[in-house]
Amino acid sequence: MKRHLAVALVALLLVSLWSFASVRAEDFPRNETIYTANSAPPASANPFQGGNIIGIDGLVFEPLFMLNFMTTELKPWLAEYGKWIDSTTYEVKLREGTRWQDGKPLTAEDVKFSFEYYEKLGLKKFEGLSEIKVVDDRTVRFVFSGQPNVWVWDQNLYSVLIIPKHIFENLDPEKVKTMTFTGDDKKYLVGSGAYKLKEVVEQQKSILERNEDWWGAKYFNKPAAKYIIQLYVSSNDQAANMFLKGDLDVATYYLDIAELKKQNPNIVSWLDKEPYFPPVVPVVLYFNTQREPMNMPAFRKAIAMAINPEQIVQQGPISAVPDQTPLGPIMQGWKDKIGAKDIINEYGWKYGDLQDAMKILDQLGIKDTDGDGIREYNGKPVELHFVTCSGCSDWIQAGEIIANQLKPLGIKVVIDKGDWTNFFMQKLNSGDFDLALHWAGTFKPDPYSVYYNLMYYKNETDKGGANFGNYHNERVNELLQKLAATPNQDEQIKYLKELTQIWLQDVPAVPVYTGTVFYEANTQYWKNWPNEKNPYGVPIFWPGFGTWGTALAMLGVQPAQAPTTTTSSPSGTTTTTGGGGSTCGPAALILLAAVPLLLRRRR
Amino acid sequence: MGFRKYLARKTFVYAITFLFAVTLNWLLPRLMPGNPIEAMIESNLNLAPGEKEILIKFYEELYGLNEPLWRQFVNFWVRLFHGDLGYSLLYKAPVWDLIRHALPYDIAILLPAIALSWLVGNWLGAIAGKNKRYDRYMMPIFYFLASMPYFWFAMLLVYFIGVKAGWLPYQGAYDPSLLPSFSWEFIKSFISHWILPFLSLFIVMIGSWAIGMRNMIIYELEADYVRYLEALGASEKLMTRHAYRNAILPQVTGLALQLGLMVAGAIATEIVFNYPGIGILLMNAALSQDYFLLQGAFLMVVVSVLAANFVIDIVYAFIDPRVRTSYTEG
Repeated sequence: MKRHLAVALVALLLVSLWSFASVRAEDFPRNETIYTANSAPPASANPFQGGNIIGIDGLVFEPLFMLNFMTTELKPWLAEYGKWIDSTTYEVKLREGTRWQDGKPLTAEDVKFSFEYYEKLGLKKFEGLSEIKVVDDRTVRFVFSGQPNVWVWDQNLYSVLIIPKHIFENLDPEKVKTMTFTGDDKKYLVGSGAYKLKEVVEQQKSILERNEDWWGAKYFNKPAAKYIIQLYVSSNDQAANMFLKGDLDVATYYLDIAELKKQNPNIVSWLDKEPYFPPVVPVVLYFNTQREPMNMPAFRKAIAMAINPEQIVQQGPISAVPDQTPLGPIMQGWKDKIGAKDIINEYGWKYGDLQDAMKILDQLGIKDTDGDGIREYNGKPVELHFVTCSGCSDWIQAGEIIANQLKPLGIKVVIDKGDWTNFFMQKLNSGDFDLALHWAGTFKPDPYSVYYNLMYYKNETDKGGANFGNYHNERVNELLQKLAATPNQDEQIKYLKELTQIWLQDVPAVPVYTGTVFYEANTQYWKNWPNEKNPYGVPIFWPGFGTWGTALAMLGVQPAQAPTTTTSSPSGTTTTTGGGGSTCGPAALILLAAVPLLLRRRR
Repeated sequence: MGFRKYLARKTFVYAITFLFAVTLNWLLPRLMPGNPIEAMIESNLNLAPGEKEILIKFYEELYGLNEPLWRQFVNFWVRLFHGDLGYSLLYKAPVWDLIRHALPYDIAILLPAIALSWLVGNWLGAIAGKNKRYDRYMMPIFYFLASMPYFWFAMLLVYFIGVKAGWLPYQGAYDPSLLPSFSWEFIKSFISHWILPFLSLFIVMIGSWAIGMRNMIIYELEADYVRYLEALGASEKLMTRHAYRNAILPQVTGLALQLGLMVAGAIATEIVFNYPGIGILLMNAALSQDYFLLQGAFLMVVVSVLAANFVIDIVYAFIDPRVRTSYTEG
């Protein structure tokens, strides 16, 4: 028995030696590979469910338009242009020479098929779309029966991935829903993008390989990286170590950039000073507008005035001071168009203005009658419950600062914590809170969606997705409806102006700081990462955000050094974990070889 | 009662246990408060106005969560007998695929660690049980090994051997620039990544095996039959051999249980070393209420623990004369 074991081990050794001579391990030259990472491991490359592989959307499959979330601009991609030719018909013209990765042309038929396929799967519903007409190989017309919502339609232009009809019409849609498109099913994963899926090693990594035959090379720059490898890195500490050693090129982790920069000057982020991370959208403090006294706009405004964002921002390195509108830094283009600054000057308030806030409360008759330092309303002390989740340390911290800032105003804030789903979201959705922080309503790609999410309210079920405070104003509904119906930008600006004005007067919620997304890149191997000065791409490297600009960022990156001519030099592969790997391998094998000897001796 | 009857009775008991355990596995995640689909949609930031409802409907239909609970239960059993463990909510992949790809890593780490630490631990424990002086020095070390927090020990290994000294890689199962393949480079990388997590488990487990063995040996050496042998003037070697045979029995049970639990992975090891086994799957599944992955992974645990126990029941019949007589004479 033991002799057999020994023979088997020796055989294993020999086989591995033999394979050393014949098959080399997969080699990804470091200077041709971008390493990124995610805290959820890759397992599925299903394009419809987002999968959890960065770039399945955008790099492998492409949309008609790409969104640059940091500037809220649409960039024509597969489409040469898209426009409303009348109020109910949207025409898309494909670029010339669009092609699938298997060489077949990508035509208007594929576009029609893709939009219909999303509806067939039940993943989308195109409100009011009555027909998709193929005019010629490159032209499609989307015909609506009624007045379409132009903003929602724009979102479909970059969120619907164009899929090959000749492949997917042979697949059962019921099965497609749960296919992972890995292993043998990888052959169905034919996209049109700059990268092909090379391999998914479940739970560990995914590898994209450049499509040398990409149609887009003619219009956009050919991507510089031959491979994009997405690793599974679950903790911030591990990510920090890997960035320091140059084993990760870009990712979305909460790291102390200032500290990292000290140890490795190649680390960059969106800004080159505090808070480093890209400020994206404001975090707003919601009021439950259905409860007294928060149903009074004046009361809400008084609280908004008493809040001092400067103090909140100083507490943490990952935020920036917001303005009074819910349109964050990413909407700067829109804010300039609607003249947000002037509107704020005219209708807005000043943050940290305690005196005026007190005046307003006095006028409302909310006064401290019993002299305990807390104002009374209808005979009861004003005590507001700030609801948050126990893991949300940044929100708890901000909540505590807000509580301190409202104390001199004579308002008591109590912080209630619980878990995310069953306490926090449940309280928000059921309207069982006084105050709460969230960015759900502001993390949107256009000003319509922001206002819709925060302010639209028809009834308990038909309301904006993040209108937790149940703010209700018929004029807002009317404006939103008009705004949804017009592709004319002058009209849009007019409505947005009025919405902004109502926001400032009614204060359904207050922006208290600007949330940032985590972003760090290493310029040791790759440079030209998008940043504040060059926002050509979006620094969000999460799965599912490919068409929101992650793909644009990946495609714009340039090698830091001139590419070497010998592409498969073994020095290109680095051992991630230091010199140990190379010396201990043989040592371990000697150990392994010693096992049979040890076993023999015991006999 | 013959061996066949013994086997039939055992099989029946195990079948009932299996049904009960699997039902519980199915039910428990569903008793957790909260709705995983809503949580999943809630965290999905890039939704257009009105898209949330469509997605909730899509996923509820996809996972059959819109059906009444009893119907879901029936579906579950029907699927199970077709070998379908369902589709993971978190990973968006078939549960069986996930388990299949993670399991080899658990086995690669845990099987050698459990088996070798059992052999070495029993050996050291047996010596300690017999030799008083050796016992005095070794037992504190064993107690220390067995009772120290594993997390802490593993982190020490990572920090001193992996990060500070840089002797061995301390995270992942192999180098990120490689793909699993049967090549020299991969095997080399795999083995060097394997050493630290293996050592961390091996060293810690030795302690508890040794303590168990030592205590059993001392107990057996005090037993009447050894006294009798001693009185007969039997050799030291003969006495130890008899004592050892008796002392090893509970250790065999312990070994079987450990091996059965192997598929659950060593969660702490996998977290510390970022090793891609089932432990991490299970943890992530629990955190995100992934019903299907949870019940699939627990199913594997139930099956392997039951199988290990079953095998032990059979093996006992051969190695322990008392069990053997209980059914041949009963």
